[in-house]
Order: sequence, then C-alpha cells, then structure tokens
Amino acid sequence: MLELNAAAPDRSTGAVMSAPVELPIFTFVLVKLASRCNINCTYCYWFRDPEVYNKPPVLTLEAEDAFCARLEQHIREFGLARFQLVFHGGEPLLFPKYRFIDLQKKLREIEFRTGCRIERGVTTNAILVDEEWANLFRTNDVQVTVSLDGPPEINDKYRVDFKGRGTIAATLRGIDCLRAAGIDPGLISVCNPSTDPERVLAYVVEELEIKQFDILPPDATHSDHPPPIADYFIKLFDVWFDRYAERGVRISTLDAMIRGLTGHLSVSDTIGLGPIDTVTLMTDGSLEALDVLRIAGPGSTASNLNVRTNTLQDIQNEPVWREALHASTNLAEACLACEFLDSCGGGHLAQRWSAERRFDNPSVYCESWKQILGHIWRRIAPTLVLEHDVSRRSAQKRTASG
Amino acid sequence: MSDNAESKQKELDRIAKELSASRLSRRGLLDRLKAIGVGFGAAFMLGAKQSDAHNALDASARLKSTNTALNGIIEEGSRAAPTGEGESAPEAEDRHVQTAYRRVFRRVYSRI
Repeated sequence: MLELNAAAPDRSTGAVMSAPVELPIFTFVLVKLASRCNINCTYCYWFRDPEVYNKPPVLTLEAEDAFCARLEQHIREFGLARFQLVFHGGEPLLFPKYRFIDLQKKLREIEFRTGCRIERGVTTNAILVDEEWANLFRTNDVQVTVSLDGPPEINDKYRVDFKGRGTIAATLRGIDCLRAAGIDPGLISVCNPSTDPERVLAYVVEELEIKQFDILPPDATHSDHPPPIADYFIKLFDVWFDRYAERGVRISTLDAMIRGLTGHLSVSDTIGLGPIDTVTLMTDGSLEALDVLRIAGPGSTASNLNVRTNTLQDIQNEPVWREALHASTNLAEACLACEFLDSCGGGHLAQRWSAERRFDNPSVYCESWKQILGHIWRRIAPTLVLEHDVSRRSAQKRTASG
Repeated sequence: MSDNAESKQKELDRIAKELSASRLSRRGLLDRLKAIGVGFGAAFMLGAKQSDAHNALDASARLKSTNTALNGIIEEGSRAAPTGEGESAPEAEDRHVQTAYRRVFRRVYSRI
C-alpha cells in the first residue's frame, strides 16, 4: 500500500497527503441496541462475523450505564456542544421499550447537565414499529431511517424472514405508524444489480412519497466476486437526473459522487475521499471500529476495550480502529493513479478488503465506480462552471510583499 | 495582476471554455489545473499536496453548476460539511489535514 504522504511518488492526480491524519475527537457513536435481528436478509454484513452471537442479544443495562457515564465524561472533557448517536442493530427495536424510555431519559439528563445537544437517529426495518414506538421516536426527537429495497418484487427477494417470506408488508405497516405519528422517515436501500433502478425510484418517490433516501452498493469483499454495479448506478443516475432531480429528489450516494467529481468533500462513507473513524458500541459495552468491517469475517472487529474500563477516545489505541483510519486515508497504489481518486476515495472501506492484502486494494467495485463516475462526469460537465481565487491570492501576495 | 497570475487567469479561462463545451475530461481538468499550480478537489482540501507542484500551489479552483439541482447539492455540502464544519480549501501555507471532516456513517439516512 502506498501511503498518502510526502514520500509517495507522484501520480497523475498528484494527490498525496502532506500530513498524517490527526486523531479525532469523537462526536458520533454507533450504538448497537441489539445484536440480533428479527429478519434474515440474505446480504447482511452483520452476521458474517458469527461472534455477534456471543454478544448479549440487547445492550445490557450495565453497558448502557457505563456508556452514558463515558459519554458525559467525553462531552465534558472536550467541551462538545453537539454529539450524534445512531441506534442500530441487528434490529434495534428488539431493545425493550421500557429500556429505550430509560435510555432517552438518561441522555436528556446528560444534555441538561452539559448543555450538549445529543442528536439521535435510528435505523430499523420498521417491522416492530407500532404506535408506541412511533410516539417514542417523536417525543424523543429520534430521526428514523427505514431499510427497504424497493417494491415488493425487489425487496422481498432478499429481505426475508427466517422462513424465507418477504417482509415488505410488515415494513409498510411500520412506515404507516411512523407517518401517523407525524414522522417522515428517511429510507436506505441496498441495490440489487439485476433489478431496474427506475422501478425502485418510481416506487420510492411516487408510491411511498419519499424524496430523500439512499441506495447503497451491496456489501462485498474481494472474496465475494460480486456482480458489477455499473449499469445499475448509471441508469439510476440518468433516471434521477432526467426526471427527478428538479423535483427535489435526493439520493445520498449520487450526491457524494457529484460532490466528489466537482471538487468538494464527500458526504458519505460509501464513496469519497476522507477519514473513517466510526466508533461502534456493542451490546456488551465493548468498543469496536466501523461495524461494516465485520464483513471481513470472524473476529475481524473484535477489541479488548469496553466502556466499563475505557474512555471513548481509548479506541484510538485499538489496532483494528487504527488500521481502518489509516486505510481510509492511505489508498492502494492503483487508486493513486486514478483520475477519480478524490471523488471515489477507494469506495467503501469494507469493500476494499481481501484476506491476502487486507485493505490494500481498490474497491471490489473499482471498475464499476470508474464507469459510473466517468458517465456522471460526462453528463454534468456541460453544466459546470469553474471558479477560482487566482486574482484574490495574487492580490494577497502583493499586499503581503508590501 | 502579476504576469504569473495573468497567465494563470488566461489558462483558467481556456479551461472553463473547454469544460463548458464538453471538451475536457476529468483527467484533462486535473492535469491542466495541476500544470498551473492550482489546487482542486477533495484531496487538496483534505491536505493533499501535489508533490511536483507543491510550492506553486498558490490558488484553488472549484466547480459549480448551472443546473439548479446539481448546484444545490454542491452548495449544500459547502455550506455545512457533514460534521457541521464549513468546507473550505486550506491556505497554501497552512495546508493540513482537516480533522473535523470525516466520511459520515451512511447506514442511516442522515438528516441529523
């Protein structure tokens, strides 16, 4: 792997990091309220590391209390005005409601004592959402994201229960409950490259009336040999750009590519150049790196850290977390020669994994990303306007030189 | 304007014309900007340097769009980077990794 530092050889983009990434002060934790799930999606990354079955099914009370204490300590130590928590799983709504109510109370008390705003989100399949859950989310200002892959014939191919039955009907009931409580949920989908993205867009926008959502590439490593995603995302972009963009429809992965191509920072860990420093709280209180890295197999994200004995910042000494951060800003040699380096950033970190070279690979979707980014560039280039600060910098220099 | 700045300005005008005429690949854009020492892109903003043109990187460029939807996406992110910090190109003399920025976790549709 070539490190992005001053010693690395020049590439056509010339993009090499001039300084190591400084260790961050965390402002986000992914909180696993449950390590189990109530459905059995065939593509799920979470259970590819069977060690999750050795974790408590839901966040233990001891871990919850220790985490809240660590969170308050962290907020005070660094004087944070804002912190983000995303409740996740497995299926986070397997966490008992009475426990969720208590947890929100503890978080509100931390907010009151510290003055820090703790923003909360949850990602759920919505199957267990009922009026009570929906009201809990509304009263506690929890932003809700629902996982759903598209219309029934697409969603129910992979998002199935433990008897292999489709789950969309139950998810739609959950969405109805959310809406009845005044919650407008976000949505994330996983693309199935063999399906028609036009159908997914039409379903989500026209039938579900959701205008802001995301469509993610399937999680896969170099061991998986996944099918290409180029045709899917190229058509997705074209349909979105030609029919939906002006209606305010937004798809985060497309946003990230557009921003990257036009020379701006990415807004996503799916694609774009930048550090990955996610911290995951497991149900036993252990602190791990980005949960999706479990895709690398048994024990791949295991750590010896636990909120009972460690601060949140301590994970910066943990080898897997450090490797993830390092890999996210140090791309494979092939990437450094790529014209899309800064708009792709090697894609999702987990998708760079191989047992032989660990993260020292381009994305398993590299060829697809190149085709997709090239296509998007060709479509948007005629609309682009170049802005620069040559005159301003020149004037500043003249002033400085007297 | 110094001769150097003037020649850069002229080249940037040429690049802009080629871009709007769809005659410029992204590779072409990167190479042309690099040749005149103008920083561009996420790698530059995150503290990357261009090893052979590092000392000449005394200006930066960015793209906007005449398409309302596209420009909304570009501008929205520029006003507030994912963690709430504004996005800006670092000064040439103070270019370092902006630790406030990170690629945000996307297993949630983040409106938070």
